[in-house]
Amino acid sequence: MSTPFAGWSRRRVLRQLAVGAGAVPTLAPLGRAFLPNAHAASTGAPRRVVFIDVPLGLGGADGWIGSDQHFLDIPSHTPLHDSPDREVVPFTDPRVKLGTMLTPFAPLIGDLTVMQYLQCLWRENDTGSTHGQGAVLGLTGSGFKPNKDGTAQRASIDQYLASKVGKIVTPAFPSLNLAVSPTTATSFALDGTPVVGNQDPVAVYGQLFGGLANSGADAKADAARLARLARRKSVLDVVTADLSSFRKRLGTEDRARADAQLDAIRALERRLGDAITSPTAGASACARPARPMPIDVDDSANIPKLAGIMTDIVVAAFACDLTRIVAIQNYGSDYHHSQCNFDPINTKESYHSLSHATDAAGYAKFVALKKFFYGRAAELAMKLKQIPEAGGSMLDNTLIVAHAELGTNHTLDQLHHVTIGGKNLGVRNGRYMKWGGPEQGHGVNNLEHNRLLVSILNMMGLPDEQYGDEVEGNRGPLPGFPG
Amino acid sequence: MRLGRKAGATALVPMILLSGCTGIVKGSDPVAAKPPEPPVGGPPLGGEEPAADARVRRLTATEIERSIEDVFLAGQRDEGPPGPRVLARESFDNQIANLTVGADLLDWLVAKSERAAAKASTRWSTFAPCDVAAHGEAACARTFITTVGRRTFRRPLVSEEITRLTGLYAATRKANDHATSLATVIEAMLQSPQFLFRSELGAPQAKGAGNFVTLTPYERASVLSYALWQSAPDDALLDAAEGGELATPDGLKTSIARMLADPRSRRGVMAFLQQWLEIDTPGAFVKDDPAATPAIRAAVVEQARLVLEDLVFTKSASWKGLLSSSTTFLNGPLAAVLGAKGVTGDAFARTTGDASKSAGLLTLPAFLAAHSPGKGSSPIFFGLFVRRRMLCLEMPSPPAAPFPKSDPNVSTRERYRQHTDDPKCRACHALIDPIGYGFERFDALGRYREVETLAQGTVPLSGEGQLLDSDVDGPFIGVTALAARLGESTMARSCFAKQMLTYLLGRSAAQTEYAGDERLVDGALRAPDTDATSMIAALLGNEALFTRDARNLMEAKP
Repeated sequence: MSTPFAGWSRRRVLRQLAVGAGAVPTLAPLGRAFLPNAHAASTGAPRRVVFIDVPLGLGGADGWIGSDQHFLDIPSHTPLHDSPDREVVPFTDPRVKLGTMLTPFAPLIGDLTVMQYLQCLWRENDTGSTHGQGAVLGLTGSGFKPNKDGTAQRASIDQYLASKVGKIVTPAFPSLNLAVSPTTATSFALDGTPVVGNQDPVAVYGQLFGGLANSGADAKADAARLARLARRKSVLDVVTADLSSFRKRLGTEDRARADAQLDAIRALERRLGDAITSPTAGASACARPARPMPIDVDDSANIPKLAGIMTDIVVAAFACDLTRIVAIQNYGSDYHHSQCNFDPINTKESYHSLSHATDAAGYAKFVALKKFFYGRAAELAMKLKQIPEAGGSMLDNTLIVAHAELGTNHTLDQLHHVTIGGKNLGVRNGRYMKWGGPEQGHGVNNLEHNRLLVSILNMMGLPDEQYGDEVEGNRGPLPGFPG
Repeated sequence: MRLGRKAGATALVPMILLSGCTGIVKGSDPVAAKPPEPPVGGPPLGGEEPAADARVRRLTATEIERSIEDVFLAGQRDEGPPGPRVLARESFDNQIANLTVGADLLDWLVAKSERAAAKASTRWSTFAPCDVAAHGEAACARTFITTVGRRTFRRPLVSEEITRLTGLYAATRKANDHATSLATVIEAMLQSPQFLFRSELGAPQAKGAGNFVTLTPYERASVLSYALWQSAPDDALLDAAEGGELATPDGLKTSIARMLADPRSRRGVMAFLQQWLEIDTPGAFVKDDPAATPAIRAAVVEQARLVLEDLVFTKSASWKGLLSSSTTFLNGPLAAVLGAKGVTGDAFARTTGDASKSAGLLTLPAFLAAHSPGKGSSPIFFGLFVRRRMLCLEMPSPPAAPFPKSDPNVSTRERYRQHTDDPKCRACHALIDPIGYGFERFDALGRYREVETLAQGTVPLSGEGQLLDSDVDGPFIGVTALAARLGESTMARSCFAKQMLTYLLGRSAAQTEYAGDERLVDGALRAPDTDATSMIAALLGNEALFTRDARNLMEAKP
């Protein structure tokens, strides 16, 4: 049987159904919207998406795919009627070879899709460098607001999905935004405010698994804890009342700020409510990762450790069904202070500087860095693949999207994407796909990357046909993806 | 280059053609600009009129901490973890657009307010002395709420708020003791939007009363205290607001002078200067150099603090003075790294550097290191800093172009020459890189050098540079000469005031052209050789700072 609550605990479903008659009319159509895909519906598993930022372009594209020396050059076109510029080559074709950057995906070749040459619009008049613009375009499909100090024209797709998915399944955390050494934001709230991922694993752990629930071991401590939670809840009631008075005189943008606080309070109240009504459920319902030790998040030598902890936290959050939407921001790109003195790169040069290297030794370090971050995506995929779910693995119900803000040579028009998993969301994996090519230049034949965003929305069950700025002739999902 | 395709909403803003890169990219005219097209796809966003000011400002994590410490913890530090970070790259951490309330902030605030409330509630009577035996707990609770509430919300509570909080007290008291119930009240105050957001709404006024509103005396008190103290107004300032003094020019002046005399004013002024100079950005001190240890990082940051405090608070240095001083502070380990003689031990001592190699703020190792890559010197980072943050010249985005070739046997200057050889890059890099070349005689740690070491051999560094687009254009040799020019530049001094104003207003005043901003900057520059605190005082004492565009506001219903 399939319902909008497929995969959710009975308790949560009951609570959702108890929200009151007022919510039902909006629930029904959205619920249907979440079930367009027969396969996913039949497995009854939740659908999840993870956006992983692997910043910086491809330099000269060496090390990506084909060989380490050249772009993949496919002589025989495989034209398709709906998109004559699209080429699709299965990984079984001997001409397709994962370059050094992509080797971490070798064990996942059957779960892998590699995409190239989607584009986004470069705005000559917009603020920020191509890095900055690419960072905002990547997940919003749109640019910065004019004169607005780094706020985006619209929400990033993770926040948009969180706002929609949250209405259906009320996960404890509509989205989980994490970061490792961020310097630029890639996610933006519904009002366009940058959402900086949380980079402190101790804080994230506290939020997700921080013991709102009783252990059941110490009755006195448990009673005190419940009393404290009850007080917290009464405090939030007063704060909510304050918010509604506060809101009255505010204009549109300021109201959005007040509403953001209200959303955060509602999410916290839900978690408190869970812990109060079912005081020990959180203690045993799912496996928690080990509590991370405090760690200096500003020391780049810690990046591998931080990235590993974040991966484990995501796996556990999925296993406990605490969230379904994750965005991980790795590093920053348009700033010189993203240093790389960690294994295996061990250089004090910055990630950005290395991306500009044209000498062999410098470029090799850059390739190693991209490989490192792709490796974190691969590690997450491998871990999800090991967890059985609905007759397959968790990876089958999770689409991981590794995106970058730049294409080759500081451009926004020759982007590169990797997706892993998502079989039950309809992805036909094991393919290299390209739309257009390097020779065509911007605006000739390459397709807008916004169409990939539309494909993802559709895979997650939303009916949207457009996301971000509309570019002529570019509407609807990406031809050929997911299936 | 792609042209003529529909680039979404921003297509309406005039294009900057790269071939004509003057470097001056002004914000779209707030009056003439048409509103952007409604968004397609994602959730609609409203209120995009560029001229409309935000009317509520979330406190920064630092402001939250300081307010709680000053109001509830008698100035003692709370030992909890630091708050969620905002990315304040090339700006300040208090910019409204970056400050929202997400789950991270709320969780942090809840924990923080619970710690503060637990501590403060045990000594509740010190906040609002009240004899429980004589008046009863409920009356004492009410006194506590109105007294502490005024400090926390930075204005007297309205009756609705008193009712709500006394109600919370009474409900909690049924199952808890008096102190715990007051703690619950403190938590509710600290999580309230009335604490978390500074109001700049002005007094409610009738519809159609005009395009501008002025801030209430209490709102003015918050503007002053968060600007200078990064904290809540004290009782004296709230009293001045209550007495109407903050609505008069003389009263404002008196309060500003009092606040500047309070050592807490160093917080605000120093935060402004350090963030403007981009000192101590995370990751900025990872260098390809064994001398770049955590201890030396701490030393250069401490040195910068000492120099800035000395220049600004002890010497009241003028703009020119900030850029020409050779006074510095050194301790033994830092002196050893920088090659200075005669200083030993861990304590910092005031010394005088070589005037021919000193340029005040611009030769602080903390500043130089923050704008250098892991190794060597970067003409781009320095050039962009001078243009953007010292001359307020915005640059367009770089075009898509192949990278300059990197070669460990080619000097930095030679490598960057590819920028100015390539016509695609030249338009802008000819304006950026020559400024940055002036800094080449300082390495990534801020040490003076005269040669650049390549993979094989060395090349001499001349420090020859050139300024363009400014009111002090021309060739120069070295940072000292560059700084001397900027010290004479009206444009640079005006930009310094605009940076201050950006910090005070929480939105950019550097690339916008509002009449009110210009009045403020003119006022701050009126004295020919104004020092930093006088400039801040002039901005804070100017009525224009308390005027807001009325458009982004729901008018109160009569």
